[in-house]
Amino acid sequence: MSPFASPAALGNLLAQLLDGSLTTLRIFAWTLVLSLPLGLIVALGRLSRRRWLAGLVSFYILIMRGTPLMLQIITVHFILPGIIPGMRIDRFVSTIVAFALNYAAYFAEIYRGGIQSIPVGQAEAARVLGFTRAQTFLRIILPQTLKRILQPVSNEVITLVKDTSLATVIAVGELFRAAKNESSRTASIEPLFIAGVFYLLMNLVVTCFFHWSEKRLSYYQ
Amino acid sequence: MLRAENLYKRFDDLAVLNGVSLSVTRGEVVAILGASGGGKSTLLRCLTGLERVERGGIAIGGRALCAAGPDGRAVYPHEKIMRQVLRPVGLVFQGFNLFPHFSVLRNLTEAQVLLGRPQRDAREKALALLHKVGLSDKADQYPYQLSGGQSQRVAIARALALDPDLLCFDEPTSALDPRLTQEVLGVIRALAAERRTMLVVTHEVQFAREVSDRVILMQDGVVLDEGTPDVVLGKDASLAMRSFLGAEPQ
Repeated sequence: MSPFASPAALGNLLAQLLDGSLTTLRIFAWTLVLSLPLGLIVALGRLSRRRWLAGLVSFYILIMRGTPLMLQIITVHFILPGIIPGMRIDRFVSTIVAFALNYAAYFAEIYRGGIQSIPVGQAEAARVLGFTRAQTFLRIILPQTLKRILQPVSNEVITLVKDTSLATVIAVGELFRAAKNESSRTASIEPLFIAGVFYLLMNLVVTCFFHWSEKRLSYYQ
Repeated sequence: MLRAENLYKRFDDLAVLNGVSLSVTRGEVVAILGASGGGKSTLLRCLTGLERVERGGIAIGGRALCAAGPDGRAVYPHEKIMRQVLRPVGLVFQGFNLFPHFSVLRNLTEAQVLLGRPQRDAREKALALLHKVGLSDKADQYPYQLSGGQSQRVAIARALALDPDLLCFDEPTSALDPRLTQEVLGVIRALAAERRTMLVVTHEVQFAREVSDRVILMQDGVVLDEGTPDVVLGKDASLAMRSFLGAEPQ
């Protein structure tokens, strides 16, 4: 029974997929809101002159980038309630925690590369002009870093849109899970393809956003 | 204005400063000459707080940037104190180091505003300085739109915006071709004529002769020769100076 058999069937399918998309978008948004700033903190830790801190952060990054995100989601989901007593097992919260920790590691390395690519003369010029270290970072280094990291960050964000499907492993009802359910229920592959189109549309928006950002930052070289 | 005594500095195995002493009095223009790798730029970077010396003491306007401890090692105060002591010192770099994401005007106003000047005063000051270096029309442009000579003039204006009592130049024309060199030297000449206190590391011997009250020759991390340009660069120049001048294209 193809989902295209009747308008009602198609309507039902789209409703299911849209519902899943909503969860997908929530995972996506929460992950970015948490991991973009967290990544900066991680990057600063990685760049710290305190050896033990830089080492600890390197280890964190190694684990996060070196093991499957799917495994991390499962681990967080089963460990988190044990660490925080009284916390109910919430699939969505586990997913967000795992994604935020994972993506922060990737963003941190992008930030670090960006920060280190700024010529040292910029910080020196700021220093002889009396900028404090914090002012130098926030007003001179970070804004220039932003322009340089835009492309690698866009890569990660696009990957994130698709990675949200990994949440299905702990039965979070996001887009991919909805499509798989519909596919099984109707014994057809179309729902999966339609889900693919949904992901594509989301990434079209992401891509447009980054193109726009790039243009906005093109006023200097 | 500036007093440095017995400075030692090494990078790993390489001794860059081997007991350099130097003083600059108010209103004086001092030029530091010397072959590349002789420690001139490192000296300037130590005097402006970008590098730390291992031994010796540096005082700016009577306040210690660092002081030699009982064992001779240089002791530096807290970052915040250093910033205050270095406040009257400006530095112009060989590579300009303008902030590419700020307009020319904002390159000149940003530090002023951070130091607490009202935006309007900072802007007025910046525009006056741009006029002074002949770049009034560039205020709203970005550094990538400037030539090397224009960039360096903006960098000089940026340093002047903080009213430095001592303005240092680290080979300000070494990154420029001869024509652009002249426009930058012209600006520095004008500053010398105002009796500004300046310390200039340069390869331009002719320029040093012309604007400086005192010339210092550095080599292998020590001061080899020092005196007024007439004497040090004149007929009776020292052997060290002669050999340096011989090697340097005039």
